[in-house]
Amino acid sequence: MTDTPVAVETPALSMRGISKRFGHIQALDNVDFEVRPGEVMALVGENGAGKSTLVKVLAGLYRPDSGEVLLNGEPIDLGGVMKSEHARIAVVQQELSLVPTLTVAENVFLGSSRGGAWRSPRRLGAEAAVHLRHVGLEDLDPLMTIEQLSVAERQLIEVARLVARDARVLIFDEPTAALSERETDGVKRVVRRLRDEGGSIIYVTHRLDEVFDLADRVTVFRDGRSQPPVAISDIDVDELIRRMLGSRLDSMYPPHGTSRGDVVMTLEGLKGPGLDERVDLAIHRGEIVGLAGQVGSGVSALLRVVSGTVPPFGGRVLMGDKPVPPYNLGAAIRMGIGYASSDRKRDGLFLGRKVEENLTATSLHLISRAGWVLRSRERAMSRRVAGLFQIDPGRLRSIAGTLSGGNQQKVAVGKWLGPEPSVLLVDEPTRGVDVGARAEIYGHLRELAEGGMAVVFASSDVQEILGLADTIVTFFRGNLISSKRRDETDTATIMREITHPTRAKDQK
Amino acid sequence: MIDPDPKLESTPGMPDEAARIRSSRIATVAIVVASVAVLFLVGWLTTPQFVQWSNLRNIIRSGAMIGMMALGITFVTLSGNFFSLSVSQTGAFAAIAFAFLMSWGWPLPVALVVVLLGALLVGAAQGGLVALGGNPIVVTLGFGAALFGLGSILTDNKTIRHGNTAADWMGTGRPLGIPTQTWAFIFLCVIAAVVLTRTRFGRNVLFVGANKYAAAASGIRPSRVAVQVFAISAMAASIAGLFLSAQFGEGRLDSFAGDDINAIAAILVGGAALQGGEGSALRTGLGAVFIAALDNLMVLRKFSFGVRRFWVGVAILAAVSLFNYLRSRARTT
Repeated sequence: MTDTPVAVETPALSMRGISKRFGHIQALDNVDFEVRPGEVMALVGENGAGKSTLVKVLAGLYRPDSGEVLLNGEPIDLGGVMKSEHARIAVVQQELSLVPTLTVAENVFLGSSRGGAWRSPRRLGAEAAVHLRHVGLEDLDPLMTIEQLSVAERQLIEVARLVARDARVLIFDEPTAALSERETDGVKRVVRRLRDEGGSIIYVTHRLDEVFDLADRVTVFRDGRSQPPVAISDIDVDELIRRMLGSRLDSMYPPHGTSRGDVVMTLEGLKGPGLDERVDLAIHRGEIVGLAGQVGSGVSALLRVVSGTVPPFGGRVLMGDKPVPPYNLGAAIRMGIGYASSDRKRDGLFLGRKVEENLTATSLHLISRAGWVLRSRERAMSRRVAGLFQIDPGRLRSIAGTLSGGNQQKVAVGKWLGPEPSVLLVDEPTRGVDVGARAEIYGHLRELAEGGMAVVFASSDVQEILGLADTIVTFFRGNLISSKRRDETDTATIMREITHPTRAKDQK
Repeated sequence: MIDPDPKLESTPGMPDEAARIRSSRIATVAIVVASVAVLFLVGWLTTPQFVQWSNLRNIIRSGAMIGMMALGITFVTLSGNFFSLSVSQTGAFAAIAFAFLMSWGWPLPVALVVVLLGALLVGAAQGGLVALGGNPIVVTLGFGAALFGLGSILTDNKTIRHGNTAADWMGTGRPLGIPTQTWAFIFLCVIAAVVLTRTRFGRNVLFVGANKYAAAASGIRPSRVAVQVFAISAMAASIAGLFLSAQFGEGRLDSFAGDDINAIAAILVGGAALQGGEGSALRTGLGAVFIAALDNLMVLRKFSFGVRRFWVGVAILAAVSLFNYLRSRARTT
């Protein structure tokens, strides 16, 4: 674009006219992409825009149909994982590729062709420490095994491993999807440090705040095509979203609710694993309640206790005036509680089964008579739910695992609509979901609330809480901090309450 | 320039990946059917007596015995609990118990019901241990050993002849020229297929096998399903035991020696997914016919026991490799 103030610098990596086709889907269409030395280049776009395909081309997993890749101006062949690694291009895996039972030091040098001769664990540890310092883990004992570490630390060790192999172009693919705010800061620090040392970073993310926080330039992909890179200083969030969506969407969040019905669910002195203090809360029909808090704050823990996934330590949940039997998912479902967890791959979906079956999995008692599943009812119910959540009816017979992340999330939440719960609990409703599908999910949750359902969702994204919730309940380290109406609070207040509230007891 | 909009283009037809998975499922069925067909063709061309009616009747009779056991284990496999390794002992124990009851002059229906109820309890106990966190292979291996020991004590390692003719029709009858065992097998095959595809229980079994955690989150109890599938497996094995006992008028400890591996081979040749959640009762049935026919053909060719066992092993390995390859090809690229 026009904004290139400095003299033209040879990009560390540049891709020209890359195309890749799968059957009749053009995943990449004549894409240009580059990253300079000492630069963080953000790569954004909706799911299906071609980001993952590009990453896989760079990792040497896909061979492009056409186009060329230049490393420091020299054409290179990325064919095969080994060649790509020799070219000093490395992907920080989304699915971590460390060996849990080996030590940190052993993992740092895992698969490394250097050295070769046997080294004592202590010596290996000392060598690993050099690389650990690069990723801000200097305090970590290199002789600990990986399974003793948090997800965030594991990710940084993965980075250390790549740095140990002299990777010059590092690709971070959604590195913070599974991390808390504080852990995310650690990753960001490392990214900045690598950049300051002259490394080239490609940062793929759905979280736009990270783009503005971290990147020097950003490249937007849409429908398999690239747009010219833009300097971060020349663009704002709205413009970025517009470029990602094209003309499709203007506002992300639906209007807030206006009416609030009777109390449908009451939490009385509820306590459980992950909750330090007893929680009292009344949930009203027709409202969306946002539980704001970081990982470990108790928001997810509360949803798990209420849904009957884990046993409470005390207190009770009332639906109307009837107590819900504790730690009994089946009873909770029958009494009108639906719960979509934050980890849809683990316990939200049957990835190997049909979408149709997934959508009716929670309603088997409604679509069967005397133990027989009635096909007609099954079809009717799955069509109805698909209609409510705009899931393509042509894909009801597809295997759930073949859907995109956004569509999978719609199925994972949508399957709770069958039993028509009075309270729908959703943990991180838009984790790993692209911007377009996100807006859609918000819209659907609002429709459900308009229809009289109470929606309770947990989120660590303050924008999401403010954009969607009518009532906002903040949590910090297992304690409920405050419960306010949407217009009684603001970003700064929520941020303070979920990071370091003054009220929080004398801990830490 | 042609301007293919991927979103528009992908909607009318079936999405690529889904089509690929569907075609791999069709391929699984085709392979199972084709294997049986090829085996019979080879038998017909090489060994004339293979296709004589009396021999075919033998095949379907022994296929029925393996098949009934395999159908029971299919529920265990589909629910993600791998296999039951106690079915041959359970079958033998049922045969012995039945022989005792008949020799004491108990009425046939009562004897049948008592044996089946006993099997239900034995199976449910194994399922219970698995539900509590036991490894299915280890639990059933232990139960199998215990049942074998118990049977050995009760019979003093002797064959129990009951000399009661009330059950003869059950063992040797041939309604419409087809052995009762085979009728029972076909009947159970259809029931198992209907239960798996059309009932809430079948759905629960497949869901638990496909993803235990998601099933639990949907209000299905994996522990209850474990108890149920192991009970079914034990009952299916005991049905096979009852027929065998009725056929020979006796109960013997070594009645089904080595049939565990044949039953498991039937399931694997039928292409059920080892990790659970995918498979079919009818394919297991075909798998049983394949294994029985293979064994029969080798007996006719005068292959020794060792050689026969070797080829069953080869069949298992080939089936597992082939179906795994198909599934991995369907899921990636």
